[in-house]
Amino acid sequence: MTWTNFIFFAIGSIICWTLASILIYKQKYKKISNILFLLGIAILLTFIILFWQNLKRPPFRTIGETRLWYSFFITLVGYITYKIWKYPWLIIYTSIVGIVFLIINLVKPEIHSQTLMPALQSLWFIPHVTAYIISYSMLGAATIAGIILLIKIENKKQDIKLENLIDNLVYIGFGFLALGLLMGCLWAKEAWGHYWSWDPKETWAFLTSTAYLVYIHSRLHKINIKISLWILIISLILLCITWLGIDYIPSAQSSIHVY
Amino acid sequence: MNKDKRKIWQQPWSYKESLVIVLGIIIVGFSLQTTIGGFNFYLLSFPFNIYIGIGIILFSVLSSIFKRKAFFKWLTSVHLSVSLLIAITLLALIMGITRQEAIPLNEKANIFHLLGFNQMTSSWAFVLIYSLILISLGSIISKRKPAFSKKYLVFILNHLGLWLLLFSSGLGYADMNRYIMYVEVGETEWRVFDKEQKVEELPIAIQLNEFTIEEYIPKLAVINKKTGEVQPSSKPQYYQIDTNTKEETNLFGHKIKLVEYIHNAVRNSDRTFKEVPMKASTPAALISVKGKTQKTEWVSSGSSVQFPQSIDLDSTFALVMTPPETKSYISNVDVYTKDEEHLQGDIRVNHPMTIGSWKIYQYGYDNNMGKLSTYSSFELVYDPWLRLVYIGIGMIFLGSIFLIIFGINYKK
Ligand code: HEM
Repeated sequence: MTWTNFIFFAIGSIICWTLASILIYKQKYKKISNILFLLGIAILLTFIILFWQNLKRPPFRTIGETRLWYSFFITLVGYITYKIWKYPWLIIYTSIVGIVFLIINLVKPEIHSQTLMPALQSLWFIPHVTAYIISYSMLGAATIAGIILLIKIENKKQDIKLENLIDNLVYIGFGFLALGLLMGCLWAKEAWGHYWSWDPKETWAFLTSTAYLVYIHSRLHKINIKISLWILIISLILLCITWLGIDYIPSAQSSIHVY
Repeated sequence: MNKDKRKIWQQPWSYKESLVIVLGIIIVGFSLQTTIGGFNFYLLSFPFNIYIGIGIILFSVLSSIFKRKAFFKWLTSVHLSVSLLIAITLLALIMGITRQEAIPLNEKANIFHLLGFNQMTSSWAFVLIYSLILISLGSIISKRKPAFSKKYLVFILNHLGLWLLLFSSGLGYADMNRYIMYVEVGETEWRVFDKEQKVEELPIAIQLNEFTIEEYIPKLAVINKKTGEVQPSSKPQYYQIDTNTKEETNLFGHKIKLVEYIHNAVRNSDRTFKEVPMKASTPAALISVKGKTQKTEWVSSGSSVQFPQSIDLDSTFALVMTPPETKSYISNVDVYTKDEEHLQGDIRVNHPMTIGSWKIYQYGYDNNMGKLSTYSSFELVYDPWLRLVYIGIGMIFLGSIFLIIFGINYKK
């Protein structure tokens, strides 16, 4: 299975998720919507597994490959959270994000090489990247929920359940973010000799984590929740720069993590 | 919120005061920076880091004794914590968008250099905020009553873990030493060059028994014989040789098929190769090409002692093999220390050797010679604080797992 076959799987998943999103608000078709959504995830997972076998190395190296996982995990996490909290918008949101990332991969797949440089051949590689991707999906979902809550507050509505959902997603998402960061430290120590060297990508990972710590702690003594929600939005912007934008920052051109 | 009932600076202090004080500290930091220059971390080398460490611990215990006093209440408040976290985020943000380097020789210092933006981690503002986080966090931890609850468990693992991590990596920085050592195959070495390129003798010696490089199977590409550019020049196309499938593929308009591949090959005659497992060998492949011309010929990427070989496709284009990428490089060594310790084994990237407070890393080799490199270089890192750092990392690791398992539910 190679990138040439990707289009068939991508279109399959896109159709499933689109239909699921259309049907989710209709009581009668809720069940079908659920099944379609899961089917979309299964199709994508099938591609990833076959692709992995073909590459003979984990598909975690290029941005294009991590986008595959992002689509997979965000929809998976979205489904689980939906099952727990019963917000239909979670299905729609995660479908949209999942589809967007599949489409980006269709339009701009980027070069994929089969070799892995020595520093990347490590046991830490898979758990490190996986933890980050799960965390990005959770924190992305938390921010969407945050924006929905901000709109509700503007309309003078309260939603304690949604507040709790957001806090929960951030706690869990931050947990994964911290795991990713710490595994990165252990790996760096094995590969480069020091667990932290303030490389641009590390600096950005650091400031993203502290931004989320600002959110978590600002929620302990209930200040105006609108401020906390804005902190959440800013944190996601920082997170996106850490993940995708780092290649475009002049100070980061020397980063050892830009491939 | 009834924040307006209380005037600013009236106790208990809240966000306004905390933010103002933290901003004040940053301004003090920048003033110090412009007057006396950056913070010298080597002031913190042993034993001064121990004194300062004991000072911070004593202070934390003290603040838990006086925890009802207004000042200590504020020092351990969420208000100050949030303000400090905002401050460190902003300082790191500046660091993330400015180049971190010494002032280039041919440039004059500008305002950013004067404020220490180009070497943020040793700027006074950063060091002061870092220290205050350490002090405040220490006091927060020692103030809280221990309890057998999920809540306390999550709290103590994350906060004590982070405190240990900040404490040992900050105070231990000056005690850490890194050296690069070059060792010839078959020789024993204990001398290194230090930062000033002076020879220094270490209490540790490395004997290099053997150095080997493994390489990946290379790729094929079509190049323009005149310019050397890989075709199509707008979007270079490479074909990864796959010994399992031997499928026919299309590379820039030419149908190519792998007939035979030899990873360790040497020239047999002028244009043919045979397998010989020796260091001077090169990868080679027998390829059948179908296009304007039909032929089956050998192509090879060559090595430092063997010429590469290409296949002519027509008057402008040729099929070539890319130089193989390195898969791993391995040094087999014996390591001896002054304390009569002795270890034998392999060192390669991602697999350092640990001996006492030393870690030895595979660093490099002679890139021009590739597999024929006659030496291997190692990075030796001495870090007596590493264990404490790992304990801190381990605690936050556990704390994060509990954060994931419990979510916010443990609050109930
Ligand atoms: C790994 C980083 C951190 C994590 C995961 C974390 C997480 C948390 C969580 C979940 C709580 C609520 C716990 C509870 O109410 O028992 C909390 C409380 C708190 N945190 Fe943190 N925190 C971190 C770092 C920090 C830092 C750097 C500071 C200070 C600068 C800080 C200051 C506080 C304070 C003051 C409280 C309230 C404690 C109390 O009520 O006794 N935390 N933190």
